[in-house]
Amino acid sequence: MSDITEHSIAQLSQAYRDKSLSPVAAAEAYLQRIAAHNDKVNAFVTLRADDALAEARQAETEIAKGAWRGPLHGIPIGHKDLYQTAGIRSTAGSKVLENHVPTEDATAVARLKQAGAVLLGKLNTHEFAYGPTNDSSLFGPCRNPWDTKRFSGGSSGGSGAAVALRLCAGATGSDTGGSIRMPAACCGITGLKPTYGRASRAGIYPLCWTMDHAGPLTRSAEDAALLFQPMAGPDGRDAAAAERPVPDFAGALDGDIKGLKIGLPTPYFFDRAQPEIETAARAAIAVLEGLGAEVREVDIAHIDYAAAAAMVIYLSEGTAYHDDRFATIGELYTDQVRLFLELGNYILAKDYLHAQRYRTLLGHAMADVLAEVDVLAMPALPLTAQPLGQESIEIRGQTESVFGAILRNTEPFDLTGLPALVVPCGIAADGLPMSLQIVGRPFDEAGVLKVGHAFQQASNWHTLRPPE
Amino acid sequence: MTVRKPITLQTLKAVAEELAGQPVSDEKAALHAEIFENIMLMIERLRGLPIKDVEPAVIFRPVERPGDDSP
Repeated sequence: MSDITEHSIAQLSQAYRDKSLSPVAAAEAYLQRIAAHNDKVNAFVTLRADDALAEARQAETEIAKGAWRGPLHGIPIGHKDLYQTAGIRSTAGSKVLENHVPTEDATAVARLKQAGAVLLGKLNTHEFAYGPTNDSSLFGPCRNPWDTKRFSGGSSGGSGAAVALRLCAGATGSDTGGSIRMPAACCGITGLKPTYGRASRAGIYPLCWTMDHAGPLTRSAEDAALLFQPMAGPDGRDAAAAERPVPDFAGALDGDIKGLKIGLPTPYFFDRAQPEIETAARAAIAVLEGLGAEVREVDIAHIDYAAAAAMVIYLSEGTAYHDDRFATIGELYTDQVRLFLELGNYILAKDYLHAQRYRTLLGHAMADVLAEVDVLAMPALPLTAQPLGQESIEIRGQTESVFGAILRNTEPFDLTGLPALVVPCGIAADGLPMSLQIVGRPFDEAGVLKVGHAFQQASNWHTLRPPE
Repeated sequence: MTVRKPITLQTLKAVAEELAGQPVSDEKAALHAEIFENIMLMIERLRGLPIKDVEPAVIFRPVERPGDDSP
């Protein structure tokens, strides 16, 4: 493989250890690609070329001495600009924090640094992660590498576009309504939203405290397992971080899904998707069936209320978090985010708590289904990435908002905190990627990664790259 | 089941100014009223769910610090 940026994280790591490739050469290759291609998509918003090369040289020296830190040692990555990075501007994509330089790393940043990852720079995000398209940002919209007139998906749009365009080997993201999985699906890569509490959110600007998740965006499930490994685990800085042992995620990827029970929640998740996306998802599920999985239809009770509950929680918690800044420098927010923050003032406390009660109800409904099957599978999104600025879309004769449609299949699993992985499963007639979502029981990230990996061993959708 | 009247511009202006302390213009309140009426329709459906005995998914935990080793 002559193009270094085509190597997976696992391949890069192996090449470093057998000395067929150096971390410095990899960092240089990625920096060259960023210089040549970043302007097309506006993914990286802060670049640290010299520091990244210094980190790569340090990794090279350490590995040569036998002080190998693990599979992320010397791997070039990017962080969503929602993650606070000590000494590096961290804006959350907002003019409100345009010149903010934190003094402390987010826990995930510190752990990935400790694991030896090389930080190339910071990645575009929808302002304060408050939107699914990444078209409202201090830095301007992030564009889709498959068609630059379309959105990248958000809020972790820079992460999705950069990984797809081979500007970094992997990236971090955050997910409150689907903000890891939407850009992963729109850009044709793999994204893991872990269980709520599996990974620390400390030092990541919040959108909604009760629904925020941190996780990786990568080209494959195997890479997601490797990048997520150090992010997972207890953290005294995050009250929601679970005191649970962390399994070896990559070690679970044995490819064996014989006898695995897969539930297909057809109502809501399939029957309101663009028909070709439903077809692609069912074809992907047929691949899993061919590997020995057993497939059955399931129905998740009360699912139709998910959008209402999520909306109430976004508006309430988002407005509460931004209240002080909004009162004094509200004019600095983009129009769309400012509108959401204003609307949050009108939500009654009883409705917020009602939405939180619904989450309990939905959690039980999903637990009932997951007592009968091991995982759920469905289209990741009901639509492909749409043109920037498009506000509505017609799907199966129903006109709806793009925001509402794009969130539909992802936000139920932020409400219930279940682990969810998206993997590419086709290319639509418009040339944009389509993806499958695999959802597991609480804290079974290893299970969904295993299914995603088995699919990727039997297909090649995850190896496709955007046209150049 | 609650019964409510449609949202008016005046109500939202008063809430924004008198409760939230973040006043809005007439033009903005009109925009908010249009959008928020649709949100209220979604909320009304949520209010209709039979969840009287369901606890909200927000659980209080006492703050503990290292060294707090009371029995």
